[in-house]
Formats: sequence, structure tokens, C-alpha cells
Amino acid sequence: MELQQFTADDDQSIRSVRRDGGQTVVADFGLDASDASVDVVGDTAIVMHGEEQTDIDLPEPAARAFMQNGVLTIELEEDEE
Amino acid sequence: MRLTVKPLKQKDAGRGLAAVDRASMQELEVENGDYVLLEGPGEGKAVARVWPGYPEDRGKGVVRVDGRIRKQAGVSVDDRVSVEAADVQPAESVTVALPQNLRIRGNIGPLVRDKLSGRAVAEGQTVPFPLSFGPLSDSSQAVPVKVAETQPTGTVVITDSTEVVVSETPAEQITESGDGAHEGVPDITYEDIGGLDGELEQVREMIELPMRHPELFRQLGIDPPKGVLLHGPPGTGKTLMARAVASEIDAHFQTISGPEIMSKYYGESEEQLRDIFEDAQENEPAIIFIDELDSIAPKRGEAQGDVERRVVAQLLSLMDGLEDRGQVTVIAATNRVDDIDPALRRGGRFDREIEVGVPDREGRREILQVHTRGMPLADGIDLDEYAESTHGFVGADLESLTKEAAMNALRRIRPEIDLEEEEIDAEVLDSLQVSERDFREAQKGIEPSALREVFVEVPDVTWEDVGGLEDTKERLRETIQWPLEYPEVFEELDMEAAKGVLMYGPPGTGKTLLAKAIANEAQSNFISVKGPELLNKFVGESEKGVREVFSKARENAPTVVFFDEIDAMAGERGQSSGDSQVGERVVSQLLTELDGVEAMEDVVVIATTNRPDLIDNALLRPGRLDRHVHVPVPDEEARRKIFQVHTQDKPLADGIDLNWLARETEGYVGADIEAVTREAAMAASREFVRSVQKDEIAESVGNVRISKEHFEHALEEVNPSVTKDVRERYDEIEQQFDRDEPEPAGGEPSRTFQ
Repeated sequence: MELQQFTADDDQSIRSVRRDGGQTVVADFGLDASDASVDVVGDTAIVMHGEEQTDIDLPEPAARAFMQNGVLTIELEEDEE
Repeated sequence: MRLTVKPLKQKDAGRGLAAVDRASMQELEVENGDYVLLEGPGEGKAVARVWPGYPEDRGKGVVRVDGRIRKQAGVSVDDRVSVEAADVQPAESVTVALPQNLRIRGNIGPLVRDKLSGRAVAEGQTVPFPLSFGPLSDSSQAVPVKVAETQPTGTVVITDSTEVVVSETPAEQITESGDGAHEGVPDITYEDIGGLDGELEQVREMIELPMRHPELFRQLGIDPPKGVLLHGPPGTGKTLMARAVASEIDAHFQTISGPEIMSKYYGESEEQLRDIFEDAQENEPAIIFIDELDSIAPKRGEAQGDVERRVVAQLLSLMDGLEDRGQVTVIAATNRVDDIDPALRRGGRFDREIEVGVPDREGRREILQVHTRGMPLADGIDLDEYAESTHGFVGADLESLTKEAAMNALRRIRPEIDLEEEEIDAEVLDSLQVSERDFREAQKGIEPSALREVFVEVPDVTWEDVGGLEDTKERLRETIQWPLEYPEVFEELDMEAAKGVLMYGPPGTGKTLLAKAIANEAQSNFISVKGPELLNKFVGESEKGVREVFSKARENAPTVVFFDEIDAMAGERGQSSGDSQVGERVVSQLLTELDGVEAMEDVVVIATTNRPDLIDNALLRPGRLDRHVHVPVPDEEARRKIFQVHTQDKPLADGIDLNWLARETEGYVGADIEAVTREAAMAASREFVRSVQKDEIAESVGNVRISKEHFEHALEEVNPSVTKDVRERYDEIEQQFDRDEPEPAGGEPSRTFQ
């Protein structure tokens, strides 16, 4: 799944916020996903949730990604303009 | 740290999230998803997960939480609440109690754990458990599960290794600690209202502020408002809004429904009214909600009976008698604001009138989000799509849409449910899902309630069904579809969409067909007005009909209003003498509606006529029916296309050349061509039925072909309806209109006439 597609999904609570120095995407997978974890391999964030796995293609490598009680946060670097 | 409570956006509600802006997050030393503890001024405590704040809140020290968390923490919107990072322990075991009336077979402990996994709970807390299913549970969309005991004590988070025990004692028997909810206060939060943010803000300003901070008004030396009148079409959420306000400010809530207080005994109706106001004053702060105010407070001059008059008078004096402290506020709702006694509508009684309108697309999306919140939706359901395609739907319509969709899902699993059994299998409950098809099926059956009186089934005619007339189609598309599809273009160029289109041309050239195609393609609501229908024998009633059509159209914008044969009702004024001159007044009414003081937003009028020379000139000037589209007699190429449309499903013999037909039919209009093809098909069937035995018909019907001879026969039968005279007359009219037509703004060459 592309990041854009992912953020456009209506089913989940998803926010895309700009912060100083980049974009942050925050998604709530719900409370039943509190055991979920995220791994970043190159340009892909892999969310592991029980036996399900969601791959999200990022436009650029993530600076930081973490998952806390079902809330996924991916911080992206600012593009060089 | 202390932050101000604000409501959460509808789509984030019900997830136990608390939106906090970045600065506060840093100060609290928490990250997205961490738990924070919210402590209200009273006993209330709630735990929520941190969610990034909305951009508009940056630096304002705001925390946004949904109604459930507000209730748990015992705070309401605009209160200050203390927020700190929560130290939450994983739970070893949790005992929960279910409501008494819930009948589920089997051990649902693991199911509860799965659903609540990751949620922070504390003893005595009630958590909504998303097991039940929209229409099955009556008001709430989740079963309230009570946490009876936790191990260890304090705030714990349920994990996969937590043991969940279902208590034998039903939830009702465990006494509530902490907030004892007021009786008679409805359980509705601001997040349950979609698309009415502006209106809600006004109501809150009028009601919450005086109740919570009467000193503000004292300082200003003014009396706080006593009443708010909500008005708008049925089903737009007036009652819901009143209930939500009562619930959020935790006020005593009294409902008066008109017919209930009416009594046959002299003076008793008024007494009941007095009782309710007295009761409210004893239970301050209180809100008195009068639903359907028009039923108990009609205009006294027009009221039928003595009782109504006395009730209105009583209501007037009671409202004047309310103490100025603003602790008792009256909210009234009506959908017929003009029928209410004017004395009630002055300041000091209902100080402010708030119109609750039909929601726009954004509002509809929010409403759908509210109603599908507890619904297990299948993947790939795009609520935006439904928000887009539900013009004119009010909240109640959208609710019944989601309800109907859920009922469709229920119907699907019905065979798996054994109705004889007392309880329903938890597995089956869990497998219920509302699919895209359920929604689509539901949408077919529900039409916007505000339009029901004038609603016409949108005809199933597309642009493809209209042969030829390419320029005309393009012109109509520009005028009607573009303003709705590309509003940004119109905004950028600072132009207003055309208000009306007049289609004229000889009979049978496809004017009505075009209108049908527009209705179908424009994605708008469609109101069709048949001229003579509006005429009424009473003076003034005919004009009223016109007015009503336009007010309905405005309420349900975007709307296309279609007047067929407009010459019948909009003839030149000043011609008739002697009769009642109804026609003239209808024309005047039409003129003011089209170009009146009231704006016609997203309402387009389409009129057709074959006698444009008879129509009142004022109606044709710019700003009214400013686009004149000539629907001409088709030329050869157009006739070929029309033949194509009419013969595409007919079995033609080989060698039938549509070009030949088009050549042969000079002067034929669309309707004539349809008649030709019908006559040819009729001739073919006549021949077939006469030559074949009755019992063989079913077998050999597949061999029937319409041959050239049939068409030749048909051409003899059907004569062109446009003669040379007619054509000349229309050419004249066209030229006359061409002169009248002003150049469109921007120097663009006029292309209205080809």
C-alpha cells in the first residue's frame, strides 16, 4: 500500500500532520492492536499485528517509526527543496 | 498540566483518544499512543491514548476528547482538566459485569478480552463493548460493560494475558461510584451530532454560557437569553441538538410534547405547562425542551380553539416570568416557524432563532460517520461516496440508510440464526458485517424526506439516449453540470452559475428528453413542475404553488427545477383582460423567485417551450432564463444518430443503411423518427404473426427481421411534422432571439445559437 492510499483510507482514524522538519503520519489501529509493532526496512514500514501484516510504502525513508498502544507514528524527513 | 477540553472530530470519536498538540505533548513527556490520565474537578478520572492535535489548536493548550471520556472525567466542553502521563500497569485479571438484559451463550470472557485488549480501565468504570449491532441494541451501539474488580488495583491495561472473568452479578446491581448521573438527562454527546458545528456553537453560546457563568452577564448588566428556537426541515437534528446540550451540561431535562399537555378539562392544559416550568425551576439548572412548538403555540389569530389561545398566553407569561438568572432555558423546535405566534418570537422570550438546515456533503459525511461508528463495516466502504450521492438527505434519512444497510446484512445471516434458541451464538454475532452491497441496496429504497412531496423518480435516460444535438448537450452540460462539478473554476473566474435555461424548438425535437437526461446526469435533485398543476381556483394559491416549489428546491439544493411547456403559465403579461389574471400573477411570482432578493444557490431552472414568442419578455432577460438553447430540427447527420438510438436493439435485416434512412427523412424530428422505427417494426411483426402458426411463434420469433420494405412502408405512413412553414417560423423566432441575446460577459463570442 502506498502511503497516500493509506492516509486516504476512511476506515481508520488517520492523521497526517506537518511538523517542523517533516511530515508525520499517525494512525490508530484500534485498541485490539495494542500488541502490534512496526518495523522499517528501507522505504517500507511493516506493521505486524497478530498474524496480519500491513506493508506501507513510504515516499522516503522514515526518520523514526514507532507503535504505542495501537497508535502508529511514522515520521518522515523533510524533502530537500 | 491543565488544558481546556474541546470536542473531538466525529471520525476519531469512540476510540479513547485524546488529541493534544505537540507542545503540550512535549511538556507532558508523552508520545503518540501513550496513556494520559485526565482528572476533572470532581471525582472523575479517565484514561485516554494521546493523539496528535488538530492544526487549528496549535499552541492553544487544548485537549480534545470524546463525550464518553468527558463523562468519565466529569468535565464538559471548555472546562479545564488536569492531564498527566499515566502510569498504567498490565492487568493480571479483570472481573467484568454485563448488563442484565444481555443474553449471550457461552463463555464470552476471551471475547471481551479480545475486544478490550489494550484498553485502560479502572474499577467502577463502564466501558462500551462493541459487540452488539446497530439496530439490535436500542439506543447505544455498544453494550456497557462494567469493570467490577481489577488485579492489581488502580488503572490497568488489559493485555492478551489478562484473565477476564464475567461476574455473576449483573452490572445494574453494582452501585455506581463517582458520578451519579442525573435522572432524565439523555445520554447524547456532541460527537453524536454531525454536520451542525456552526449551529451547535450558537446553541451552546446561548445556553451553556449563561448556565455556567451567569456572572458574565451580570457584569455586562444584561439578562441572559431565556429561549432558543430551532427551526428547519424535519429530521435535521433539532431534537438531537437539544438533548445533546442537556446531556453535556448535565442539566435537568424536561420535555414538553405538544399533544401530551392538552387536556379536555378547562384550565388543565395550562396547569400542566405551569407544573413543568415549576418542576424545572426546582431542579435548576434545567432545560425545558418543547418539541413541535407549532402544535401548542400557533398564531392566536388563526388558532381554531380556545384552548390553543390560552396555552399560548400561558407560555408567554411563563417565559416572561422565568427568573433572570438563566438557570432555566427553554429550547423549542419546530419545522413551521412561520406558524408560531409572533409574540413568542420577540426578544425576552425566544431570543434567538437558529436555523438547522439540510446538511451539505461534508455534514452528510460526518453524520454517516456517527451512524456507522459502532457498525462493523466491510473493507472498502467509502463513506465519502455515499455522502456525495445523497443530496437532500437529512440526518434522519442518513440514519435510516445506515439502519437499512445493517438490516440487509442481518437478513443475509438470518438463515444461520436459530430463532428458537434463547440466546444468539457469540460467533455468529461476531461474523456480522455490513458490506458495500448492503449499502447500495439500502440506498435504492430511501429517498430524501424533505423532497418526498415533489420528488420524482429520476428517469433512466442518459446522454447516450439522445441522438444528435451534440451542441445542445454540450451547452446544457456547461450550464448545469459544470457549476456543480467544478465550483472552483466558477469561483476563480468570479462568475455565477446560470440560473435558468430555456429550451425551445419545434414539437418532437427532444426537449423533454434532454431535460430527463439532465436530471439523470446532473447528480442533483430533480423537481418537475407541470404548469397547469400549479393553477388553483383560489386567489393567491397558484402563486403560492410557485413559491413552494422554489422553497423546496432551495432547501434541497442542488436542484434542477423543470418546467415543461412553460408558455402555458408564463405568457406575455398585459395581453389578457377580463379574467382573473392568475397567469400574470404567476409570471410575476416566477420573476421574483428567479431574480429575487433571496439567492438561488445551486438551483437551476430548465424550461421548455415550442412557442418562445409567447413567453413574457421579462422572463427571458439575463439573470432569469438567461440561456436560450435552440433545439433544432435535426439535420441529416443528427437524424442518422437518432435512427441509431432507436434501432440499436431492433433486429434489422442486412443491408439496411441508416444513411439512406436519414437521407429519406428530411423534415422529420426525433419523435417522427421514433414513429418511423416503431411503424416499421409493427409492419414486420404484422407480417410475421400472419404468416406463422400460433404454436410456432415462440420458436421462430428469433428470425424476425425488419427489412427495407418495412421501412419504406413506414415512411409512407409517417409524415414529417415540420413543414416548410413551421421551419420558417422557427427560423424567424431564432433570429429574433439572436438579436435579443446579449453577448456573454468576457467577450466570448456568443455560441448559444448555431
